[in-house]
Amino acid sequence: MPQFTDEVTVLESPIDVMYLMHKAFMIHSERTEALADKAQSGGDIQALTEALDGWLAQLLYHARIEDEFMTGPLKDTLLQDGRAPLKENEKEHDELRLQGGALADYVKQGDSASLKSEAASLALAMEDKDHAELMGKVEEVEKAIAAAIGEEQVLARTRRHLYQSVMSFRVTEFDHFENEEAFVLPLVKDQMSDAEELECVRKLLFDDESSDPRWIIDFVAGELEDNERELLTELEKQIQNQSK
Amino acid sequence: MVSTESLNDVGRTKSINSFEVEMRNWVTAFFLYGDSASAHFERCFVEHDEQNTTAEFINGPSHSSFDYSVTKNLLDHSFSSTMNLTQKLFDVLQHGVQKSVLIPRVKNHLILGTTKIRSRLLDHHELIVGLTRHNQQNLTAYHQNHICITDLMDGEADGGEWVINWLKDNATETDQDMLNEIQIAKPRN
Repeated sequence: MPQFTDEVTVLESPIDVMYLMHKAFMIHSERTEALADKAQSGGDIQALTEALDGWLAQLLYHARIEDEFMTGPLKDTLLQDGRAPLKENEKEHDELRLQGGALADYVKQGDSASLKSEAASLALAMEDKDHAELMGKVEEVEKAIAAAIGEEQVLARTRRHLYQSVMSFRVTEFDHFENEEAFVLPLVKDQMSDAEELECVRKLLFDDESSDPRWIIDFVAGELEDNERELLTELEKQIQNQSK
Repeated sequence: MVSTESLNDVGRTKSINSFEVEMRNWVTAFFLYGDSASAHFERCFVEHDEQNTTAEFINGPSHSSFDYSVTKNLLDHSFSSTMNLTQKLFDVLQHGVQKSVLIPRVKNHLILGTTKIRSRLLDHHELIVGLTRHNQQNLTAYHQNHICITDLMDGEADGGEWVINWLKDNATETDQDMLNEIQIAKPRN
């Protein structure tokens, strides 16, 4: 059972803030997924787009900082099944970047995005000869589907696929958080001192390069319950004390 | 289609095995549907060719058209990708569920899997319904649907009883009435 799905009552070590962060991210992801679900039956696409943008911004920053300041300085190990947790973690980050990028592109393509993806998927699935022939007909395939199912259904199909992609992204994120908590956080605790952990946590919560360095911690705090928010506040005090 | 809500009942009022049985029944019905749709469209082209018209499949109000090979590729791809998604779902069931215990991670993947299948099935269905509508509007000698229905049932060892009953169990009241009529109209072997 991943820690982020439970109530977090104590931070035994600074890096345990990851449970709070994962929890906040997952709450936002589930809310975005619910918006995508509603969008299938005419819900607000603007609210969905904003939620998606926020999700991607948080997750991409989080993954980059982890690669650089959390797993970057650590020494990898081998699990019984031969996997190396840190290497796997980076691969999972790459997968999240890939899926997140594809999702953002899909939204940008607008109401007929499903036609393009269908035609591309069909072209990829064809044998070489047919493939070459079909590549010249991608536009024709798009038109054919649109003509067959009608404009209204094209929009419905695009929204349906969007919902599915959002759900898929959330499931990938869930798996990643669970893996990270099970296999990576123990390595952080083993190999980093409290002061190093605290500095890593500072970078995870505060964006030094932004005009609004608090955009991450404020987001996380906004998603948590009162008692969990208090844990975050306590940790922030520790960070401030260390910086003095 | 098996509902994702039914996964919430696993471990309470139903077992994961009953979810698997529901999925297997759905796959059987989908195979029959795929066969039926394929035979139906092959017939459309035969009928069309016999009219000595051009080999276009659709020539609707939008004046867009595409040929038999594109149509066939679309339908085949749509069918096979639904089956691929279904196979992936069964892989999750086989490898992810240990001793009938459904952990959140696996449940997520099963819900995602059924959502993908439902979405793909709707894509497939909309395409078939759309193409059928265009054919009915544009081909004068459009063949009769009942021929396909009769052939579908005759091709089954039990005369189509299982699939009709399965459809009735999962259909709305109006559709159930139609299915009853088909059963009544069908001569007993």
